[in-house]
Amino acid sequence: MYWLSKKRYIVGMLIPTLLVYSVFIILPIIIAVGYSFTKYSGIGKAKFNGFANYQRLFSDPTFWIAFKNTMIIFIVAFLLLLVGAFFIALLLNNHLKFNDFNKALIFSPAIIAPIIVGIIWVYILDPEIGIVNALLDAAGLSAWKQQWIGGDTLSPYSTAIIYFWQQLGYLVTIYIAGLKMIPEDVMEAVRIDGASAWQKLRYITVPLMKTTISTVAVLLITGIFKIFEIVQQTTGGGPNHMSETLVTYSYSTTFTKGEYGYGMSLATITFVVSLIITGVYMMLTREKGEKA
Amino acid sequence: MKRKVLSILLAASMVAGLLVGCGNSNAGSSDKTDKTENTAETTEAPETSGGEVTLKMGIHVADPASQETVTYNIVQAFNEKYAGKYKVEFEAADTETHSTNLKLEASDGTLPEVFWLDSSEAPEYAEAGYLLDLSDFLEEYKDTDAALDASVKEAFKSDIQYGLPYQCNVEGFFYNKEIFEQLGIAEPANGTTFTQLLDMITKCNEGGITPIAQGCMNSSYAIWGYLAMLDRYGYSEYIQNILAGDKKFNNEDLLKCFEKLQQLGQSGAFSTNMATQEYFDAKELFTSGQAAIFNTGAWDCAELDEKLGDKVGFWWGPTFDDSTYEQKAAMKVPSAPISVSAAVAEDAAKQEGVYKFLEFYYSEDAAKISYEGSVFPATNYTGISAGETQYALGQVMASIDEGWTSPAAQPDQILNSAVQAQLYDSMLGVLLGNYEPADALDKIDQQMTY
Repeated sequence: MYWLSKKRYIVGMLIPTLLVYSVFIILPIIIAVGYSFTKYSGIGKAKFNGFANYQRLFSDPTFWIAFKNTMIIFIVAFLLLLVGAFFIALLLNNHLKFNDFNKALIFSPAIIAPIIVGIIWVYILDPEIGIVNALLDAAGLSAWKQQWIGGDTLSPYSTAIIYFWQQLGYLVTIYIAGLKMIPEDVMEAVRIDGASAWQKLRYITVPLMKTTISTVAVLLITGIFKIFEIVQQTTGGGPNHMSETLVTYSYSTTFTKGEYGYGMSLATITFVVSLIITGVYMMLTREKGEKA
Repeated sequence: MKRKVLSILLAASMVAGLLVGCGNSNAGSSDKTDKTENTAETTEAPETSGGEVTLKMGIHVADPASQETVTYNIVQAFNEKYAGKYKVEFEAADTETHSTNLKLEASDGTLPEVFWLDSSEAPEYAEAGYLLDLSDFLEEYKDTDAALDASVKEAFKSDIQYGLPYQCNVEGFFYNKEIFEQLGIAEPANGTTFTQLLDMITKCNEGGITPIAQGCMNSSYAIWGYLAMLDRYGYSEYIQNILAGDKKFNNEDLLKCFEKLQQLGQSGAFSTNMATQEYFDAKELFTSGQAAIFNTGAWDCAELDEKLGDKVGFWWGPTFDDSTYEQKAAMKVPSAPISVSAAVAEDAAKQEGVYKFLEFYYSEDAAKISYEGSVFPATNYTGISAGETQYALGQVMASIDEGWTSPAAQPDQILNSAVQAQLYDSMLGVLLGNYEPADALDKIDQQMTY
């Protein structure tokens, strides 16, 4: 296969993908950044207004609510999924009873359309018609009833839990694939050396799974910053923008309020924040001596 | 060498494949923009086939046959009348998608010939030169001109006549007579005061009935019944001063109005999950007999007839003792406009077809179709009344007959879409108890500065 590894062939093979990536990913980002410096309603011509949208953004309380909510969802969902999915994958990687059934059960939410996921969870978390509060009532724990969605506090946490439920199976599958890649002879050697379960996990499994964990982390960071349908379906970003995330706020500003310029500044900031978090994570997890 | 050629061919075919996939703009555009074309009669009809001129009508619902039945029936009647000559096909999408589609189509010159346009966006379309001046049409079609009152035409006029009203919106509060009877409460009537409404709310709550069905989630626009309350605090008299920057939304009168909204929220008027309920959920709550009052417009009459029959009543909403403005303020206003693409002027056959369609749309025949569907047309034909089983429409017409005055335009439709959205957010925020009245009004003033 020597001939295919020549630079010009590699470039030739990459060009189609690069072309599509540039036209459908890079170019829209550049255009969005461009519009973020304009006042534009989507009708007629955009008017350049310098940094006015960014100045407005930093003094906009709703932006900070959306930012705070996004961060809450990010922290809760990231930790739960990164760690939770890993341990569930470890469990499922053993030869337990009903393993296949459990895998199917855990993976099943991942095949449900996000908009349906939102609808399902409305019937679980709605303060009036939801199952959770009904069960609390039935158990005589009415004092524990909460406004899980639609209130001013718990909506982002609920969103994180819903996202956890939705994504768990998908990430567990990736982890299991990673676990299967660990050479059997290494594990055999560890067993012969008499390592405890913790030692095996700490010194063998986790280090050998590092690439997989990094992949899952990046998928999570990008995925969490794109959560849209769950919020839209459970609360619509409301009431009064209290459960907005950066993405839903950007959407409602752009398409509901017709403020395309300001909406694009929100989208740009969202892009930058997710880029920074991904970058920081990659830096922190980089092997010593490894090139960036 | 063979491998080299193969590699080049492979790369070339991939590029070509992608270009084919992405480049079929005609076939892909409808999917891309999530719009559906109603092809009840024909599919992929050529624009002119055998002399027939095909016109596209952009509409703000995904399924006109079920969601805008009256318009659908008018279009069918038009197609029947002009069979072989003109044909109108729908380009249908839900309101938000329709609005986005129009913006994209305007930018690439592919607007449908005729389309429903959001009032708050229409002036911008007109200013950008996308809309046809319909003055010539009104000049040419005198009967149509006469069928539309000057005030409804004025609502969509700037330098040009950029639109004509789609329908007539009549908005207020429907109520369930049976619930009021069961609870032993006097039914609301035009002139019922805000204090009396609060008393009704208390009694409904005591009787285990949700007093007012109200949706918030993804339905911030569903504040129609409360719009007349703004007018009872003088909104229409000074809104132009506010828009000119001479007055603030946060003024003494609107503050009083918003304080009433706050009292309404605090009185337990709404269900506790109002924040997660949509307008359609609220309607379901009302039509299933679980709520006493529902804020909506006459467009729901047919559904209310079907589900509540003669139990339904209609009321313009509460009046206020602390306002110096006219309290007999109703809300019977022209709805969003129908506009015509400026590009139509470049094709004489299409322009003629559009004019014929508009002539038919505002004809007495179309008005009859409207009334049959319990929708108020924008025209002023007299002698058309509600049928015996059109209970809700009959109740609305009875209220109209009381002669309360209406503003020339719906209060929210005067504002641009960003300020309009903030008005909705502020009103709902006060009803929900999330905003203090003064803060809510300040938010609208703040939005005005952007």
